Amino acid sequence: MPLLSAEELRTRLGRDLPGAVLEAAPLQIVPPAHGSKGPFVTTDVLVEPTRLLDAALYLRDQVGYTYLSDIAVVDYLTDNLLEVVYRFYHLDGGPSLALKVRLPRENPELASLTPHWPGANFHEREAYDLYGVVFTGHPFLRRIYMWDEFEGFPMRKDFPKQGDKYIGAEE
Amino acid sequence: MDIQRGNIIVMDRRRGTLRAGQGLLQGLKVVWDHWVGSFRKNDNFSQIHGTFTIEYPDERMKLPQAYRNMPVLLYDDETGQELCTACYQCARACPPEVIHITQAKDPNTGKMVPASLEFIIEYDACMSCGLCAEACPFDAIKMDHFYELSTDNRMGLMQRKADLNRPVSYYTSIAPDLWDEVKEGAMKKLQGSIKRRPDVIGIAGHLSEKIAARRRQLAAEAAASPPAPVAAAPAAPAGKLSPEEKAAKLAAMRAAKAGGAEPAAEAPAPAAELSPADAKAAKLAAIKAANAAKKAAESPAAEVPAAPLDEKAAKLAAIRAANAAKAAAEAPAAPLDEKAAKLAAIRAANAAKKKSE
Repeated sequence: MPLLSAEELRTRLGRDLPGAVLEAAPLQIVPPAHGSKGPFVTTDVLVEPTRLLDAALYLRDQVGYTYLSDIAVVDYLTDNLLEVVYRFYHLDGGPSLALKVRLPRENPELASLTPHWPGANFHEREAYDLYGVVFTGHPFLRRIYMWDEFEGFPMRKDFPKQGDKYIGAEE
Repeated sequence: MDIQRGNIIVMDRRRGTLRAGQGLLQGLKVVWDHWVGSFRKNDNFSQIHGTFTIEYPDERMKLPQAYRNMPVLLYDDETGQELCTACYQCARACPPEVIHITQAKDPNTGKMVPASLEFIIEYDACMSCGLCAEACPFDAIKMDHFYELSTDNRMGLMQRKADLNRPVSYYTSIAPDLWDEVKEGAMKKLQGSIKRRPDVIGIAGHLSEKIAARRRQLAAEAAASPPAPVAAAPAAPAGKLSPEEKAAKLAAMRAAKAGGAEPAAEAPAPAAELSPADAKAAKLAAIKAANAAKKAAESPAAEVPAAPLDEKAAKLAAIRAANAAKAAAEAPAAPLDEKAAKLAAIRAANAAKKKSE
């Protein structure tokens, strides 16, 4: 029964992959979420973006969390960064572990996990389509919801919500 | 691209070597363990035994209030009026452009009405981003929690207004806190748009009783509104101010009208033109003016601040009546007419005097 806490994973990653784990700075959530008190401090493991692949492979091969369940992106507009969350499960059961990566909102780039987890394909395409995170090494990084000519990334917090964005935009 | 395969994970089942019959018992033990464990609810997902699942079609997981699946339109429970005013904000905000709106028109004037005639959302291309609900200034479009949209009919996913309409009570049942935040403003804006909606435009189409009720209400309003001011003037008690004022003014206006009609008549052929009807009208006006003045004079002394106004109106009426009478008298009319005009003038003068006293 694998019961590895995020704290234990952080110490193990810090020991085996020096320089891969970062100290997580508190983030502003604007407007504040229901029942939130002050800035948000994550308890999950924050990984250095260039070392993400190492950390993910370590989690799979050394720790045994083989199932990449989900890739999510969170836009922290006030802190001017995008956070990509990778969620892993152990096939024997138990709670999940997350790896988080923080990227600048301008030109966010990240190594793709698709060569090692074929199931990450659509998740990464979704993240690219809606948030504009570019996954280098992805075999087919194209928009998955929107059409190819679409401009902008609709789930970013600064995507305009009012006014004519497309009607007559090309004129 | 090369996908590296062959990462096989070998699971250690910890069985060891078995003797004859032991495999069967071990298998039965697994079954027994799971059967016993299934009676315990596993709620933190850290245990391997217990019930992980819920019996889905019969029971469902509770969704968070802010969960969003597909957008729907709200209408008011009481009146059946839709909150949407066809302002096109959602259609503009929609990234995949799946919202299509037609605004309603007033059939009599041809002017646009703050209500939608047709509202289409293509659910098959909707990406559930919720930007339409965020952009809506009237809180008319909200994200639904309904997720069982599987269908074999793709065109069935093009949802028209009739399919999208939901009562506000439905939204409060799925997201009470979110509705409480916006309730006041939304309802206030709805009242504003109802005022600008003629007939039954803007009422959800399937609510035939609400439409009938609205028709009845509008008919009642139409029937009640024109006679209302006329009925108010004579029925008003003497103690009230404004109806008296109104009556006095009305009398003055009538007197003036009568007075104005007479000079025009006197110029070409006075004797022939000045009919007894004109004289009668002048008389009537004078009587009315006198009555109004009397009424004003009789009003209790408690209404001191309003009194000067009443007095003024009465005086004015008397003067106008006198003028009218004079005009009538100047014309070389029949003696009956002259007499009536004189009488009216005297009465008006008396009323004015009484009032001034």
